[in-house]
This record gives sequence, C-alpha cells and structure tokens, in this order.
Amino acid sequence: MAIVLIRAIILYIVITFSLRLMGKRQLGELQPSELVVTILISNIAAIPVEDSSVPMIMGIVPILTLVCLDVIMSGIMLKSAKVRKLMIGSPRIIISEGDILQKEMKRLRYTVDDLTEAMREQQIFDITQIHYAIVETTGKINFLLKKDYQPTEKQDVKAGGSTDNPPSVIIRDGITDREQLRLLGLGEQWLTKTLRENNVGIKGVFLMTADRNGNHTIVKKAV
Amino acid sequence: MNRIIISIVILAVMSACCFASVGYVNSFSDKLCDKINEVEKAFEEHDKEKSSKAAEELQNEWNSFMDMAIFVNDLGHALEITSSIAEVYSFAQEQNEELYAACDRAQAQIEMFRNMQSPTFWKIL
Repeated sequence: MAIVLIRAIILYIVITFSLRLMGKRQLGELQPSELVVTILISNIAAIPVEDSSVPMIMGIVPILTLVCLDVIMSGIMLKSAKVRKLMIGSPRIIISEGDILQKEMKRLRYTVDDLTEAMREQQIFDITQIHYAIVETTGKINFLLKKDYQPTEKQDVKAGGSTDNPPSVIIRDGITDREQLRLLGLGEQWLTKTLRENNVGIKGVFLMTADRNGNHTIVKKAV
Repeated sequence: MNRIIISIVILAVMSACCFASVGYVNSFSDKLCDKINEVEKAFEEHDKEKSSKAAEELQNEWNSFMDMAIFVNDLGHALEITSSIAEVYSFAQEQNEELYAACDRAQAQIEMFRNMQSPTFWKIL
C-alpha cells in the first residue's frame, strides 16, 4: 500500500514537471500532437500505479520521452513552416463570401450539423449572415459575419461601417504565403514595393497582414 | 529555447541510461550463466564443496543484482529467477541429480531476462 502511495506522489511530481516543460500552450486548445501526448501520458502513468509489479521507471521513461519529443518538435515547428504545416495542418475556409464550400467540408469530414452547432455556439442562427467560416487547426470553427450583421463599434461610426474584407497573414516569420497573396489579388510587385517603403526585407518581417485594398500591418522581427 | 535544451538533455541522459542498463544486464547475465556452468561442472566432478560454494556465490551475486533487476524488469520475472537459483543452491548442497534441470531452468530464465532488455527489431515491434 505504501508503495502505491509513494509511486503516486512521484508520478504526480513527474507529470506536473512534464506539463510545466510542455508550457502554457498545453493548457489551452490542443493541437493534434499535443492531444496524442496528453492521452498517452494519462494512460502510461496509470500502469505503474495500478500494478506494483511493473517498475515505475517503465512509466517515467515513456512520459519524459513523449514530453521531450513534443517540446523538441514544437521548437522545430517554430523554425520551419513546412514542418508546422505537416504536423498541425493549416486553417481551411469552409464558407467563402457567403458560399458554403461543400467539397472542402467533405474533405474535412465536417457535416452540416457540425457547422450549425458551431454557429449556435457563437450565437449565430442564420447561415446567410456568415461571410467567412474558417476551420482552425484545433478543429474550432471561427466566423466572420457580413458587414450588416457585425456589431457596431465606435470606430465603425466614424468610418461609416465595418469591413467584410478581413486582413490575412501574408508573411509569417520571414516566409511569404504566395497563395494568400494571390487570393487577396495583391501581386509580388505590390509586396516588394510595400516592403521597400517600410525599409524592411522579407526575412526581417515577423508578421505582415494585408486586406484586398492593400491596407497592411507589418511587425518587424525583434533584433 | 531553455525548454528545448532541457528536453534534449533529458532525452540524451535517458537514452544513455537505457542503453547502459542493457549493457549492464548483458554483462551480468553472462556472469551468472558462467557461474551456473561452474556449479554444474563441479557437480559433474562430484566435488560437493566446490559446487556448494559456487551455488552460494551464484545466489549472492543474484541477490546483489536483484534491485537492478526489479528496477528494469517485471517483479514476477525476477522472483522466478530467485526461486530457480535457490533450487540450484539447495540441490548442490544435497548433491541431487535434479541440479541439472534446475541449472537449465535458471539459465533459460536469465537468458529470457537478458533478451527482454535487448532492443531487437522484432521485440520493438
């Protein structure tokens, strides 16, 4: 009995340390790899506590291995957009300019019920109010309402209405998203000119967003 | 960045310890098997004193290795080896012919214990 108690205490410390090592990301929305690690940790930790004939090291080694690999992988994903895309995928648009992209929904295995449920969760009860719907890498669906249905803000009163032309990310961590640039109807020439005006090269940009009108925001990389 | 460095260090230390434990178990298993052969040889020569002494040494060596055995492997398997080695010791003292069977059993169990630690392709799968 005392063995089980001591093992439970040690495993509690190891798992708390492991989750701390994984960082705050783990406590929010889970990415696929993080979900796998979390499920595996809970299962692996249970074995040495339940069965005292199994050495505790058989629980600690796989837990630490999974957590360390997850941290190393997240470090690699931070550096490489290709690996990031491979591991966690990319957000997908399922409603574009009010049109439901049924092929995309089928590809993502999302049913109409999933869509309407996600709408209701965000207090949207009429599909015709939606301008854009995006499935995030976590599986959550975010919506952008059409101009007429967006809540009015102080800035809208001054500007005469809110936008249904949302800005998109076109450079992330020094890498240009050419597909996004094409969708916005902004060419490479516009990008080069804008960057030149802001005295920054592509490699020096941490984040750049732009809308179809060419309104943009640039966040330079910290030195 | 600190987290990544800590993770790499933990992973490297764990890998080194795991593979070192495989090597340690291997060398200790060889040592135990040699000792069992020594017991059998002394028994064949009808040297009761020598075979009893070798069996006692075998038991002491296994007992000293017991903690490591429980640390890296299932408790049940370690207990099986303990009981087989205890039989070897008792048959050696009695000069009982069943010592051969007990030695073979102990050797097979030690081999199994060693094999369970080696990360071969089929075992990984």
